[in-house]
Amino acid sequence: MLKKLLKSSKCRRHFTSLLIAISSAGAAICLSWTCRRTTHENQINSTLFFIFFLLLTSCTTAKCYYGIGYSLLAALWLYSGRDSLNGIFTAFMAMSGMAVLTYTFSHRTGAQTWDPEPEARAEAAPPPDPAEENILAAIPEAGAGPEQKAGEEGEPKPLEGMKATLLRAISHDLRTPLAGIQGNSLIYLENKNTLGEKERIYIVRDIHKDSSWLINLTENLLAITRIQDNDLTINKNDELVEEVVGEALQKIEKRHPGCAIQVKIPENILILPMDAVLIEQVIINLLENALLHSGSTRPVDVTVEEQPESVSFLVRDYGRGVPEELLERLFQDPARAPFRPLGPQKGTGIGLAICKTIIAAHRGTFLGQNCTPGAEFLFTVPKPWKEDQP
Amino acid sequence: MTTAKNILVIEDDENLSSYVSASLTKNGYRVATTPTGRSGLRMVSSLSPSVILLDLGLPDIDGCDLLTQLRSGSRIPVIVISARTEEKEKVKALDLGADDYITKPFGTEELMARIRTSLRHSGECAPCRFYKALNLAIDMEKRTVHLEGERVHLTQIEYQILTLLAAHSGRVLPYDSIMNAIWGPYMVDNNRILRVNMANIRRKIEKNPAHPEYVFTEIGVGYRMRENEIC
Repeated sequence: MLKKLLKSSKCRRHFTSLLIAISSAGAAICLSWTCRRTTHENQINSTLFFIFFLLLTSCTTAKCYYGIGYSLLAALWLYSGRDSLNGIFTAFMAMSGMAVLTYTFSHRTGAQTWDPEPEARAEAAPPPDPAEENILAAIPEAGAGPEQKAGEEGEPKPLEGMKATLLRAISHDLRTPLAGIQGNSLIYLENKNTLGEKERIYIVRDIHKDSSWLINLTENLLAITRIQDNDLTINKNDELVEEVVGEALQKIEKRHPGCAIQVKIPENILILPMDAVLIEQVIINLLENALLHSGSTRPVDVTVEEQPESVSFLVRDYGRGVPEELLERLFQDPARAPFRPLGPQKGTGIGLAICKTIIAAHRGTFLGQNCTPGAEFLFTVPKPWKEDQP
Repeated sequence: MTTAKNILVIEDDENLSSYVSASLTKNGYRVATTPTGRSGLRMVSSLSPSVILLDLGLPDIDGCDLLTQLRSGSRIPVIVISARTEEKEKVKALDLGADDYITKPFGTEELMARIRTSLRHSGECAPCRFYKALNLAIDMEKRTVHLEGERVHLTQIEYQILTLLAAHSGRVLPYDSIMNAIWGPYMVDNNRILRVNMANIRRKIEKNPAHPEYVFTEIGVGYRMRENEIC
């Protein structure tokens, strides 16, 4: 029974912590003794140390290294308030000795919660920025992997891995709005009596904004799941171009009431084989970018034209344009990952990368460039006869 | 409204259920909610609600089975709340007898419009002989269509499609049911002819066929006509 108890990792952790506590206390008493002052005051100090260390270590039972860190800080603080450098030095020596001891011990007992970054974690509350950046930097590399591999095999497959890379990026982008929603709702719940009417509205509005963005992202995710994994095949049906454009406009108008969009479409009836839901998503993404990020209130133009071998869709805004860096990554450097989350304009890169994937799956072309003023994105969907007889 | 209408909400998600019931109560409906299909079925017979809002993803019974059971006993309008964006699921629910569907996430306005439409179509008033919305007017007795006061000339088939949609305005009509109603059950299993006719109708009544005001497309499912303003 006792053996079983001892074997459980939780018990072992507690045991380790207890040992740290005892050794800390021991060290504290030793220290006081080293100072060779056997006055009444110092005896009280040693007792205080003992209780202090015990409390600290038991507070941090799971993370033994926190305990050591805190002990070290506490000891330094206490001793620097007293006299000599001597005291600080002895404290330091004792603590480092103890650290070595606990390190060996915790490894021998197999403590489960070994924390490799005690300092970063000890800073607690807000997650440190460097970690965030690491993740950002890691994504494109991971995404570039399969594509480069495909290139080495001599058969370049730019589409391979695209979907997986996108999914990874989206999952990453999910965290930002979620953190916003969680944080804002927590503020609301914790301070509901002290918040003014205006602040409350701000908070709820932010929650609404973040959740709307999440919904948008989820739609994109769902769109991608319609694309088959490896060969990017899609389920095509004959669709009326005007119906697809019409539904996209209807959805975007529901999301942005009163938005200004001008549509031009040929008079003749155009029927194209496509996955309407996906093409609709492309139009929605392009319009959403134009409405949210262009910073202009001039109507966005959507122009559909019939070409000899395809139908082209052009979305043009008259705002501040798209960052060149993003365009470059999307269109000029196919070897690199097609996206990376771009700080202030969150989601822009992902939306465009999804557009690119969808159009690639339709065997169409997707182009984007900055104009003066604004930006234009053009995609084409090939006509059926062209595709059936390659 | 003389008496408040009863609405039964069968939805297992607490948050959504409380959101729906709060917005319905605010709009003057009496609301009963239940998280399971079994208790939902019991409440249908005890409350006899005017409209049922049904989530397809319930913990105890599959939404489609529940829909079949509901339909075997009553004609109470059912609006399906669907998290599924797959068109096939929506079409299936409509085929099984649902009156309409609404896809999560939805706004209060959309929900109210659906409920209004369902109440109107639940047979409490005689089928409307006139349709009017914005600048479009259809007189089904004289068989005329007017846009901004000008007579619109439609072919026989186009007129039939338009009046069918107008008679069910505000509700989605699946391609198949329109095909059945206009061309009969023996038509080829291809709705291209319907959609070409629709494109022609759009060119006659809409200012911009890609930006419709009267007949909206629900891709992969069917068409929905703007709500009738006078009925």
